[in-house]
Amino acid sequence: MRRHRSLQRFTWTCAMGVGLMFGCGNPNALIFNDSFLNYVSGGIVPQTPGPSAPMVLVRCVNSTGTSVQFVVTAEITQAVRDAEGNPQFDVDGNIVTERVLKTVRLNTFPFAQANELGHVFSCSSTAVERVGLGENLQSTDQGLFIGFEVADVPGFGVEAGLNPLVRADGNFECGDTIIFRAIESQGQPGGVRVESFVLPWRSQPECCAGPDTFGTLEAVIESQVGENP
Amino acid sequence: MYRDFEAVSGCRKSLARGGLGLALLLSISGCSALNPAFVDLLDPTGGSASVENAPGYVAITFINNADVDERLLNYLEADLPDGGGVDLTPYERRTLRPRIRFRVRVDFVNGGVNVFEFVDGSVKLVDTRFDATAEPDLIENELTNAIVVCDVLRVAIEGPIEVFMPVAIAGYQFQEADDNRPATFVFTEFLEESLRFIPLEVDLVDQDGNIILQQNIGLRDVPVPVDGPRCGSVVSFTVTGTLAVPFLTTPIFSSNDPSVRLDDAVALARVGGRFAVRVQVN
Repeated sequence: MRRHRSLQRFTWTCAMGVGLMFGCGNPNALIFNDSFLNYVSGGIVPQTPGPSAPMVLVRCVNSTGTSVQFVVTAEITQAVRDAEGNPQFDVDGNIVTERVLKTVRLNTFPFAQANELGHVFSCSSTAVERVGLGENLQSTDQGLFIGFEVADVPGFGVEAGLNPLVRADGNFECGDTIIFRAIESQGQPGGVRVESFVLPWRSQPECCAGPDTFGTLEAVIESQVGENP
Repeated sequence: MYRDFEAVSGCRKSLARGGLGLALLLSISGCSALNPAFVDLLDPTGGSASVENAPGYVAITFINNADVDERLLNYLEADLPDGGGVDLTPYERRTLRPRIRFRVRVDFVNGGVNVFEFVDGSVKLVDTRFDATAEPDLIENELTNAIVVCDVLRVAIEGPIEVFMPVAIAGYQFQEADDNRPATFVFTEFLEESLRFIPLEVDLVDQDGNIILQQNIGLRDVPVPVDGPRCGSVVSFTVTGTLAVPFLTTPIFSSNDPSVRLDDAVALARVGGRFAVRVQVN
């Protein structure tokens, strides 16, 4: 009976060892590396900006075999300011706001780690209302640019075919991570299809044993003198 | 004894099979079953697909704390045709920043490389006689932060840092006096640095470190690479300094427009102004 138990312990230890050695199927994982531990159990560094960092992280993942540029647009509500920079109020005393589109182009490549790039949109003094692909947030916009880095091929744009995520509809909130993933798909224009996901900050474990990435980023951004007009 | 051996041997086999099965399950499932961070991701399209969590991030950001020389700003704000015709509100003037861009190269530990361009600054800061659509990066939206996944081997600025020159700079040549006219300066050409992004050049020094020619960035103010930033850290590139252009002023000739003597190497070298880049890891 005692031999049986020690054999059982030995087998479990071996199984866990094998799991760790192979990084549980993740080619990026290193044994006991912070990144690996975060990948396996979380709680080392944050996956979402969370409540302490007022921003929305947009993470673009390229799961195709070619380079993909994601045209990420956020619709942002910001205060209307007068010539002196003071916010304007309506007759009821509410701040007058306007909606503007902000677009960034994120390049990704078909190699692990370089196949991802992200961007954070601040929601400290503004509100991120919608996030999607394409300059005008239309599903018919050219939301992806495929094969842009190949010298002999100029690349081509394709429709994302994806409706934007809307905060008012509960798709996301400030502090969440939004993920756009491009995957190969036959029968689609350009052979690429896009999926969107949301990782809510509320679903995340208490953070963090390691650096608070987004809290620090927020503090660094705040160190910028003035604001962009 | 024989029976006991059989029992242990059978038990050993079944345990070994179970262990192998568990190891296989772990490697196939990517540890998802054991990982509390592997929360199901909400798919707004109603599908059941999911994406695995990132191992963590390194945030890279560009802080543009540069400003614009007062004389250049006054020229830009003056009405046409004596100035640039730029109309700025007091708020815009207070928060004005030159348009700056540079490329960042990120090397990952697995050999992958990503390169992207940061660009930031005021889009209104340009002579209104210039067609801004001719310079796409002037009207593109800005990119001032990028989030890359761990593990990062190196983060470095690739190539020069460039600043947009918002005015045309007239080049003059000195003309000696002759029997018919006094010495003067003659307009020859607009510098090729006019109305486009120009690279900021580092001071030229001799082998002892003495400055031979002062240009746009001091030797101690150049951006340095960051090797092996810890997962979860923030790498920031902060650009400070002043965008400036020369205005030719001599006892015999002075110009109210941006201008320079074509044979004045010192003045030519400082076209664009003086900047410093600070790299921090937090």
